[in-house]
Amino acid sequence: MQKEIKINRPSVKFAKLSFLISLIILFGLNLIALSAQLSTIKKIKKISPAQDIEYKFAKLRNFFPAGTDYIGYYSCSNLKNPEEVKNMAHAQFSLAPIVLDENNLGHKYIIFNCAKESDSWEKIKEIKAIPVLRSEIGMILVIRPDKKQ
Amino acid sequence: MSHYLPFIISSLIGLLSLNLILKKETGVSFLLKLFLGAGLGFALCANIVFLSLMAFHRFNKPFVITTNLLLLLILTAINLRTLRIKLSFEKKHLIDTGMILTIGLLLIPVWQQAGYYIYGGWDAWSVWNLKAKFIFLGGHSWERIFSPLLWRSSPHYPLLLPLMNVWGWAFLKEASFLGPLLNSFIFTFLLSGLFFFGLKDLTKSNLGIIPLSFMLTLHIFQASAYSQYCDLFMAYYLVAAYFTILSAKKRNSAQFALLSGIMLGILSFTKNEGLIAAIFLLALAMPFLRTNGKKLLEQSLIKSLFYGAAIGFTPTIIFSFIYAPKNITFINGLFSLTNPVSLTRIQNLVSLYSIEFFSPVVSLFRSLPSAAGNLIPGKWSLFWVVIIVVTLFGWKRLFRKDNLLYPSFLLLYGIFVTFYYFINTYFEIGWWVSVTLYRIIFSILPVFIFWFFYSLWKED
Repeated sequence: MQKEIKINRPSVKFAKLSFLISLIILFGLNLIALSAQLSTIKKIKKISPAQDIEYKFAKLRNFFPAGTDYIGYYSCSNLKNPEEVKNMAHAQFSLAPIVLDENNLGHKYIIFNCAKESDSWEKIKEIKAIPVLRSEIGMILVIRPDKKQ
Repeated sequence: MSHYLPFIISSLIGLLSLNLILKKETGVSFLLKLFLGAGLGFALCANIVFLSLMAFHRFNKPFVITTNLLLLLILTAINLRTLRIKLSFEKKHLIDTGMILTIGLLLIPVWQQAGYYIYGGWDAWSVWNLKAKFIFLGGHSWERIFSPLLWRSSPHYPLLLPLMNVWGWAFLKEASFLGPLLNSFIFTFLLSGLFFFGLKDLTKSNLGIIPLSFMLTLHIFQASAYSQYCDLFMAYYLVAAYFTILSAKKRNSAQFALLSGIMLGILSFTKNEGLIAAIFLLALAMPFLRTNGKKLLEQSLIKSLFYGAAIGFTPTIIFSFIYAPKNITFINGLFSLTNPVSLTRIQNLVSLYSIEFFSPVVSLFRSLPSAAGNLIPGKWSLFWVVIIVVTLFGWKRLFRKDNLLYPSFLLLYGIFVTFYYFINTYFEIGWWVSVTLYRIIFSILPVFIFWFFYSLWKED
């Protein structure tokens, strides 16, 4: 047992020393990478002070009457494109606790957010919905008076 | 002030609760109690929100605030009866203050980036904070978070983080972005403090500041910290559970064993990965805490561990059996005819793991002839290469019998995660591993480094 400890100690000391020295070097390299990252954030902040995921849908937040639990969200696609999924996720976050029903046109309120605005208008005309709001980015809110919710 | 009140109340509740649990323990520093207790307090306050959901079928703000304040009052009264304040200033206090300031300095970049990404990352606004908004604003309809229409928000996931965020909004009228942002930042600070002071308590060494500094400046750690993801909270409670198990053994302390059971329970309520981790650690803690020569019913540490687990796991058990819907993003590829498992899936997994851990080495060799700028490491900053080299020299100490708790856990957890990646064929493996593996590694990184340092530096 005594002999075993004697053999272990130098290697453990070396392991400890190499661990600390390696991490100090990597810490230095991390700082270089971090300063580059922070400088990028500083540049972005000159254009926009902070990330804003609610600006596209914020004006809809107080639009729906009390008791509106579900609304439709139509994207003219099956939401495979990550950008479209992100848009819907932003909409869902902004409008919570209302649940967005993906590509379901059977609700009273429906948000149309297609890549091409003309596709949205075509579909709105097809289902005979009444547009009530249009945003600067081409998102359209419609009402279907024939539907309950 | 309303933004900060919940955090102050939680920290005080946690510190006072911990003082009671550890009243027979000596030599536990105030700062260690603060960093460990705050995590306990936050979880306790979150569970009071959960109690409100169960009792009133909605978030009942007056009930939650009153209960928390009452709890704080009772804990203060109990602690005042036994409190003995001993004010003294020694050299070690100066060192500790210096370490806190160092941690604060290292967290400045996290705060600067969090100040831009105020809504966090994808999973923050599509999962955790989304659920929190439903609970906070949904009234009696809060259970819509379990709707299959919200399948992208993983309805089957436990609710600790959303409940913590709701508690953070308790004194506000709206679901402000500042709540979750502060929550994540504070937990990054708590994780850092617990890491350093936990290691100091076990090894009597201040050198833990070096691995902590490395970890806090790692790009992936920074990104995960300001992203407001649950992985950060899972990382905290993993370190808390591991530290308290080690302390229970070292001090032969039933109080620490009780605390470790509670921390494991809280860990299980973070994410499903946290539940698996908690179960594995609980199972491994039993032989670890066993005292030789005593019968099973006389094992006081194991009994205390189970009492703590019985308390800590209760919210998870209630959630799992009463609220959690089935996981709709799971296809068992072993039995599926449409999405079966294949050998290719295993090959892809092996490649993806290799890329995740060792791509900096490959890039390093490719870029040797060119500028030094290319030597700046990527995601893990050559860390895993360092670990392999150091392990070659220190393996006898690292894998000594009394240090085997964490490596055993890592092996079991790694096998489980890999097996789950293999059999769940709902997701395309390349995309799935690329967006989740680094986060799983992030959640176990602090406790991994904790084990590594502890094993090499602990007093014999």
